[in-house]
Amino acid sequence: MSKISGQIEEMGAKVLVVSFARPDKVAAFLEKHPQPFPVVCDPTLTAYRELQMKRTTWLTFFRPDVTARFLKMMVHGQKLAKPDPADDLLQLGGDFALASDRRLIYSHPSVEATDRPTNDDLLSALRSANASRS
Amino acid sequence: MKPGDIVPDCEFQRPDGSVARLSDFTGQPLLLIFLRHLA
Repeated sequence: MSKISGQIEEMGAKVLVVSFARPDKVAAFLEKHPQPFPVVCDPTLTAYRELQMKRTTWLTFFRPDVTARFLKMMVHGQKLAKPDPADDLLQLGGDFALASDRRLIYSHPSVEATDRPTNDDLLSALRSANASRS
Repeated sequence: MKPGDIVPDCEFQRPDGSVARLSDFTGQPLLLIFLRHLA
């Protein structure tokens, strides 16, 4: 994500990161790992549910293709941090682009733990969101 | 929700515990990223 932060800024767009972790956990994480974007917390999963993000299953989590993608991420240098015991490892995330009036332009709720849109997909979604304000 | 719908003005908590609303961050196109877990 940090690779495209400059392009996002050039578009006049913003990024908001949401975690379901408690605020104190997020504060401790940010102290060790500062992020270029604001991070907020949704410990009750209200917004997660509003945007229809689901939980995966252990069967899907350990599916060979999902495991292979985790391994590929590690080979490419992505560190997979040890999750907090309180974390729900099955809760999935998602990526969404909103126009300036909070209109949903792009929706990508993950279907499994490694399912994320590409940076090109995200930039394209933001371009659409940007175009919709004119 | 589907594209074209207005996303509700959801309430969040900032890391310092204060309340933030989605509308605090809109007014320009916004990429909203929901994490699986902190990592």
